[in-house]
Amino acid sequence: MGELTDATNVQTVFLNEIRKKLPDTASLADELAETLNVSRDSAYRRIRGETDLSLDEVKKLYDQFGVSFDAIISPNSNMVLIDHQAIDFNFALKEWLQSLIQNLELAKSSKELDLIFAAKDIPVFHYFKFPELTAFKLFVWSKSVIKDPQYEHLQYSHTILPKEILTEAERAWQIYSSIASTEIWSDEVINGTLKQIEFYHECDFFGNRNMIANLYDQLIEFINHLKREAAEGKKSEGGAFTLYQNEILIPDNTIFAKIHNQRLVYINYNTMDLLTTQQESFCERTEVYMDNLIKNSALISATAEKERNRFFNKVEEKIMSSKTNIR
Amino acid sequence: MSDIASRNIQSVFLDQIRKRVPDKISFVDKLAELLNVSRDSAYRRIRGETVLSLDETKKLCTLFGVSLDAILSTSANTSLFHHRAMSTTYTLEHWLNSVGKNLEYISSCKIKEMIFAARDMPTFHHFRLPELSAFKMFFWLKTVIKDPGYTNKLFQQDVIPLQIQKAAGKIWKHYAAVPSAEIWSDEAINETIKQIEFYHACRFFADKNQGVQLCDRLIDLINLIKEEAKLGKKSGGAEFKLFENEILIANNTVLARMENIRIVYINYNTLSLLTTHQKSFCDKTEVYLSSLSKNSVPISVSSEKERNRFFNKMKERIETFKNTLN
Repeated sequence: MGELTDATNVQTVFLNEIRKKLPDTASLADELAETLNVSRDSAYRRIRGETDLSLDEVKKLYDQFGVSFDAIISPNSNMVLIDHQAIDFNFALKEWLQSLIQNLELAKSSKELDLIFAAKDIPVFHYFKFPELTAFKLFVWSKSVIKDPQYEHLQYSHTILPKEILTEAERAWQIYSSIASTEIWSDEVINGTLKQIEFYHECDFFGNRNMIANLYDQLIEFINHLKREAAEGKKSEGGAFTLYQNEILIPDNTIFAKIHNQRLVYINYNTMDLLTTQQESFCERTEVYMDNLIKNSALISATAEKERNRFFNKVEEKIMSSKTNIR
Repeated sequence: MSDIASRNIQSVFLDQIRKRVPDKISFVDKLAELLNVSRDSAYRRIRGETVLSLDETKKLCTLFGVSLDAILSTSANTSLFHHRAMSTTYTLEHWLNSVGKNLEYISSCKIKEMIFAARDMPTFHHFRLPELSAFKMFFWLKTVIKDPGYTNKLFQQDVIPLQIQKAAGKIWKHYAAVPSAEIWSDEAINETIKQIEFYHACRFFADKNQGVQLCDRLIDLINLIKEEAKLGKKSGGAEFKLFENEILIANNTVLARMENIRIVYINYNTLSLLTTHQKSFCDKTEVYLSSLSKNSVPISVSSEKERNRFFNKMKERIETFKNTLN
């Protein structure tokens, strides 16, 4: 963030922030001329401060480059603009998955990518490699979280979701698996899913007992798969996988991303909703928070075989004990 | 802000400013005075004949607390939040005082109510027992914020300055006077148990029996809350409704309703609070919380069996853990 003094006018600072977002090879004048639909000369006059930018032009630039005006006039402001993407009947599973895929593709296309998860629950992408687990997670969301009326009276079965949904989910996994991510997991990462299975069992939402046994088997397979990826420090589709564990400091699910020089924070809200912001000071604080969190966490990928085994064994024991209790 | 597409941003922006100028004062005069221009020039800006420069925009934003980003971003999904994060510069005392002021305001309203969806027990409850309260705060300072003043300190109750303990006590006092509904998961005490476990393992307790004592206080607290749930009343006299929900609580969210104001607080990264008044966001949260409570089991006043089961499960967990400490 440029230091804003009385000697610098806001227009200059604003345009400088846009310049920072451009690749080194691009020219600010060309980008301005194109976005504002003015001549190159007019663009230069705006850069030199001879012509005032109108607020309508500021809006066009805001839409195009995502530069926050609030952050420029008060970089230390505590006001944060947050985008809330809620999933409900109108924004259904399929659109949700497609928007996820879009975001992942954007991340993948970025040359320098930084993706850090602080995860109280295993990031849902990992589940999407396993069709039955995917079907179960998405069914619980539809039936119990979104309360989609079409699932109200249905029991779970592996084939309950439209095939295209599972295909989209797998596509999301493939991209996710091919890009680098750093993940800090709490040792409660599996609790949420186990509770869902137990609850559905109690409510008699399973078609038959075989399905439950099958889900537990897949969970074990899932954990072993993740353990192998952690051991290699690489996800199946080639993305680097850096895994940390932290027993006590992860209260919720937060993602910090740096994509194409733009910092973003995603906060998981009400199970499936995402709160997203690009506001500089908020992203800055979250980045510091994540750095601190990593410093206080134990690395369990690639090295530290003993700790890695201990961590995954504990998760596996939890699954086995839940499986035993349910009988 | 659906009208933005058809109107220009400058006039939307100036309208927002106009709303903040008292009715008695002429908007044109005020604008002319603030921007140091003639009345005519002010009119030309209002009519959109003269472009408002970004320096002028900044001046008005700062003076009236208007967010230009909120105007620029046209999506109904966008909300402006106030962010309070405890850090080495924004101290625990600041944070407690600021949260205390909010609660004092809420409790001073005639009509008021707070609804919690609580993955972890609402922090305010810990503030009722000084030893537990001091432990929670010590943990935040030493381990979460990493306040250098606490790096080499071990925990004992009097390590936390008295005025900070008092500020926390005040928060409970205000909260106890606000009618509230809380929806808890049965993981509500897990976080505190883990914190005790971690400090015990790291030998961060000055007294080696401290872990056991804290477990006892936690049981005291659970008994206290159980009794209040039974009565449907908090110690301050306000109504208390408690619900249990096993699977649907993903984070810690609070909705406060006063006369005709609503506020949503989202607790994030342990000690950060995001706060918003924005209507669309409050609406969505209200719908979410009401559907959540419908799908939860009420365990206050009636449902003695469910209430006992719920609290006993937590007590057993604390007892089991306590026995591992010896």
